[in-house]
Amino acid sequence: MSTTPDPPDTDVARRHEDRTLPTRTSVAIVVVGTVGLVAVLLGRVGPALVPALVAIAGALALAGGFWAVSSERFRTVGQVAGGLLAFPVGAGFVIGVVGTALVLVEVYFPVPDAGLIAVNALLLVSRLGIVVGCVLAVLGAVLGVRSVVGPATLSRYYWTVVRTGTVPFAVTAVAAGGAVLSEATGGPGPGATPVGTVTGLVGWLATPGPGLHVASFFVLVSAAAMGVRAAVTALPVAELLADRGVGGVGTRRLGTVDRVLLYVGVATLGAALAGLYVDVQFRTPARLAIAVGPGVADLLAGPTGAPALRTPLVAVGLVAAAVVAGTRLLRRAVRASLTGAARRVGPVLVGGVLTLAALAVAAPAFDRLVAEVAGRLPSVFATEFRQVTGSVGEFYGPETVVLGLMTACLVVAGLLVLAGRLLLWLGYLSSRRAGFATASAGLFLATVFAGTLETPAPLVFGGLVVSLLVWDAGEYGTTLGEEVGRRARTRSGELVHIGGTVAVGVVGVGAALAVRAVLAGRAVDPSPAAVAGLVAALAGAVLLVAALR
Amino acid sequence: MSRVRVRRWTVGLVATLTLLSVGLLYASSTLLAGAAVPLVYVLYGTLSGVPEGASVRVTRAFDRSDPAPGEAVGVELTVTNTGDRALPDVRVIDGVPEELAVTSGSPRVCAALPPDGSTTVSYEMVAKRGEYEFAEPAVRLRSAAGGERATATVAADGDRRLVGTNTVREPPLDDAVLPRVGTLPTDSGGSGLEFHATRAYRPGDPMTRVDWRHYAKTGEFVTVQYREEQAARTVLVVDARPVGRVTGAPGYPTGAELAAYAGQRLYDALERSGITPTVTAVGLEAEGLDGLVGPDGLPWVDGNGRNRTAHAERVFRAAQGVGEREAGEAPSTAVVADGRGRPGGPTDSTGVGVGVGAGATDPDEERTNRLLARLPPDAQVVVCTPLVDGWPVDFCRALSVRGYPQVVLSPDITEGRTVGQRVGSLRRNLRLRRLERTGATVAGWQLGQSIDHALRRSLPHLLR
Repeated sequence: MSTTPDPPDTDVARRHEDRTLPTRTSVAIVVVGTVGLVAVLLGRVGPALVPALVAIAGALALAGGFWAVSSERFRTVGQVAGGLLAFPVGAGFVIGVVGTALVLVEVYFPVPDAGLIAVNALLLVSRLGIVVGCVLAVLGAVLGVRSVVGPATLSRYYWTVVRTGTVPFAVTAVAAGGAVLSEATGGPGPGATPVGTVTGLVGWLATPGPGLHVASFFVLVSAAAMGVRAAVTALPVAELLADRGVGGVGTRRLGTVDRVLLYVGVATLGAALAGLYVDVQFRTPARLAIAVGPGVADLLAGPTGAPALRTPLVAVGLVAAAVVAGTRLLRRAVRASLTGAARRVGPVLVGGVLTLAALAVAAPAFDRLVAEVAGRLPSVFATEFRQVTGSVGEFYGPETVVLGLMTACLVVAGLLVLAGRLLLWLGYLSSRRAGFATASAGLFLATVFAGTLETPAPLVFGGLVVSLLVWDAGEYGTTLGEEVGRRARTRSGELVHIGGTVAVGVVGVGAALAVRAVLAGRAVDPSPAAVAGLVAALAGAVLLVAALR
Repeated sequence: MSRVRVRRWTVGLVATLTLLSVGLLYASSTLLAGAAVPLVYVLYGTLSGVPEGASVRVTRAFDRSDPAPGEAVGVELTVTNTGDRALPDVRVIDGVPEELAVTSGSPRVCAALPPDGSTTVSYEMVAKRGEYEFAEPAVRLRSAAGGERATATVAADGDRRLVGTNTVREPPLDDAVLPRVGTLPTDSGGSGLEFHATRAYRPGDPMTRVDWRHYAKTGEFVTVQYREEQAARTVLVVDARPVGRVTGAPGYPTGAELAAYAGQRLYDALERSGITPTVTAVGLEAEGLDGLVGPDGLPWVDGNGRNRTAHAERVFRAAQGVGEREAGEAPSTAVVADGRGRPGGPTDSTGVGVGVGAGATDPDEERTNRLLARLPPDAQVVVCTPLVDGWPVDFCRALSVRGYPQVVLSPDITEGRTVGQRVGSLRRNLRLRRLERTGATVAGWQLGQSIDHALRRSLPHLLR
C-alpha cells in the first residue's frame, strides 16, 4: 500500500471523454489546414471580406452554443449561454449571406452590357460560394475538435433557441397584431402597448360594434365550451365527487357534460366557418336582410352581435383559461425541480433581455440598417427600398421591425440547427465525424468556387489536396480516438499516415498540372463534336466510378 | 487474421464528379484538370493494402512479481514487426483484466513499424488480491491509405498472469504473540486477584474476604473486594453498508472492502490469541447468507458456535464482495466526496423492508437497535468502518451509554486531492474525534501504512 491514487488522471468522466475524442495530432493538422486554406481563400473574395468575417463569427457562435449546451456539468449556465449565443448565430449567418450578396451586387451591378448579366451572376455565385464554404469549414473544424455534434446536442440546442425566441416572437406578434388591429379599427396609432392591444382585442370581442359578426360569435361559443371542458378536466371534480360518496353517478354525469361540451365546441366551430362565409359575403345586416329576408336576418345578426350575449361568453372563456392555466401551473410547480425549471426558464429570460435591448436601441438601429442596406444597392433599387422601409417603419414602428428582424435571426439559427439534425437523421453526416466532414466539404466547396475565378492553378490544386487531407486526418484521428484513445501514444502512426496522404497529394497535383498543360495547349472550338466528346468523357468518368465501386 | 476492405476514399469519387461537373459548367480547364487530384486518391485507396504475411510479436513484462493489493504494477508491452515489410499503422490493445484499473499511461498504442522495428508502451495498474489472467492483446493493422484493415488477437510472450499476494491467512509476525489474553479487567468489584475496594460487611460475605486487621483496629467488619475478571466476549462489527462502498480512486478497494479486510485480519489475530470473536456485519441484509442471518436480518456468527471460522469467512467474503461489486457497477460514484450524515438512496434501497418492523423508521437507527438487541451484556465491540457517515458515531454513542467497551478500526479512504475528498477527510477526522470523546478506542488505518500497524494499535488496548 505505498502508492497514492492520482485522481486527475483516473477520473472516470475524463476517461470516457478520452475515448470519444479524436487524437490531438490529427486535430492539430485539421485545424492548421482549415485555418490556412480559409485565410488564403478569403483573400480571393475581395470586398465581401467583412461580411464573410461576420459570418465566420456567427459560425463560431454556433459552435460555442453547441459546446455550451452539451456541457453536462453546468447545464443551466450552458443553456443560458446557448440562448445568448443564438442571436449572434442567426445574425452572423444572415449578415454573412445577405451582406455578401449585397456587397457583390454593388460590385458587379449594374452591368454595361446585358450579355454580361449571366457572367456576373456566375462570378457573384462563385464568391458567395467561397464565403459559404469558408464558414462551413470553420464551423466544422471547431465542432470537430470536441466532437460535440450529436442528435442529443442538436435537439437540446434547438429547444434552447426556441425558448430564447418565445419572448421576442410573442412581443413582435402582439405589437404587429396591435398595429394591424388599430389600422383596421381606426384606433390609436403605432406603438400601442401589448396590454392595450390585448384589452382592445377583448373589448372588440365583447362589443364588436355595427356590422355582421356571425363567425366571431360562434368562435366565441366554441372557445367558451372547449375552455369549460378543459377546466372541468383540469380541476379535480371527479375526485371531489368521489370523496362525497357520489363517485359513480358523478363520474357518469361528468362524462356526459364532457361529451356535450365537446359536441357543442366542434359543432359551433363548423358553424363559425359557415358564419365566416356569411360575414364576408354580406358584410352588413342590411344586405343580409335583402338576401334572406328581414326575419332570418334579425335572428342571425341580432343575437350574434349583442354585447349582452357576447360579454358573458368572453368572461366564461377567460375564466376557464385562467383556471386551466392555474391548475397546470400548480401541477408543474409541484412536480418541477428547481434546477430543471431554471434550465428551462433561463433561455426564456435571455429572450426577454434581448427583447428589452432591442427595444432600447430600436430607432437608431433601424435607421442605421436602412441606410447601410440602401447605400449598397444600385441607385434605382435604393430609392425604392427607402420608400418601402419608410412606410413599413411608419406603419409598424421601428421597434416592431427591429424586434421582427431579431426574431427572424433566431428563427434562422433554429433552422440551421434543425438542418443539422435533418442531415444527421438522413444519414448524410455521422454524428462522430460530422465536424470534420463539414469542414472538409466546406473547404472543397470554397476551393472549387475559387477555381472558377482567376485563381492560380497550383493554388486550386493545393486547396483540393488540403480539403481532402482535412477529411482524411479528421476521419483517421476520430477512428484512432475511438479505437486506441487519446492518452495512448499514437503520433508516429498518425504522422506516417498523414505523410503518405500528403505525398499522394503531391503526385495528384503533378498529374493535375500535367493534364492542365495538355488542356491548355489545345484550343478547342466549341463544335458539336467537342461537346459530344466532353459529354462522353463525363459518362466515361461516371462509368469508371461505377466500375471502381 | 481477418481482413476487411473499408470504402474510405469514396469521397474522392464524389469530389471527382463534382469537379468535372462544375468544370464543365464554368468551362474551366483548371477544375477539369483538378479532377485528377481526388482521382489519384481513389487509386491510392484502392491500391494500398495490408502486406501479405504481415506478422507482429507482442511481449509483456511486469516490473514486479507478487505485488501487494493497492500497489502499482508497471507493465511494459513491446510490439515488434516480425515481417519483412513495413507496417504503416499497427494498433495494439492489451488485454488488461477488467478487475484491474489502469492508473497511469494507456494499455493501447498506435505506431508505424519498419521491418524488425519495435515500439514499447508502458502503463501502470493497481494490483488486487488474487490471480488475474491477461487476455491476448488485440492487434489491428491498416494499410497506408486506411483502405484495408486486418484484425487478430496475438498471444503475448512473457508475463501473462498477475498474482496479488498478502492473503489474509498469512500471519503478521509482529503480532504472533500478544501480551495477555482471554480475560478482561472490569471496573466492578467482586472476586478476583487485584485489589479493588472495601465496603461494609453484609451477611453472607465469605469469611476469607473479611478484613480482619481492620476489625482488630476498629471493631468493624469490612469486606475486601477484588477487581472482577470476566471472560472476554468480543463482537466484531463490519460496516458494509452501501454508503461505504466508495473508493478514493477507480481501481482502489472500497471502504466496505477495506473494512471487511481489516475485520478479517483482526479476527485471525484474535483467534490465534485464543479468543474467538463473534462476527456480524451491517449492510449485508440483501446478500442471502443462508443459515447465518437471523430473523432480524443481521448475519451473526457466534464465537462459541460450530463451524464459526468458516461462517465468519463467509461473512467477510460477502462484505468484500459487495464492496467490490458496487464499485464495479457504478464507477461514476467512485469518488469519496460526500461524507454527509446519511446519503439517502443507496442506504435505503437495501436497508428497508428486510428487518423487523422496518416501517417508517430510519434504517440506520433500525440497525443500531437490532445490534444492541443482539449484543451480549459482557461484550466488547470492535467496529470496522470506513467512517464515511455518522452512523458509526451514533452507534458507538449508544454502546457507550450502555457501558460497552468499544474499539473502532477505520481504514481511511479519503486521501484524495479533490475538494470533495478533502471535505470528506475533514469530516472523517471530526468523527474520529467525536468517537474518542465517547470513550471509544480509535485506530485509524492510513492506506499508505501496513494494516499490522493499525492492528497493533487497536489490539493491545483490547486485550490487555
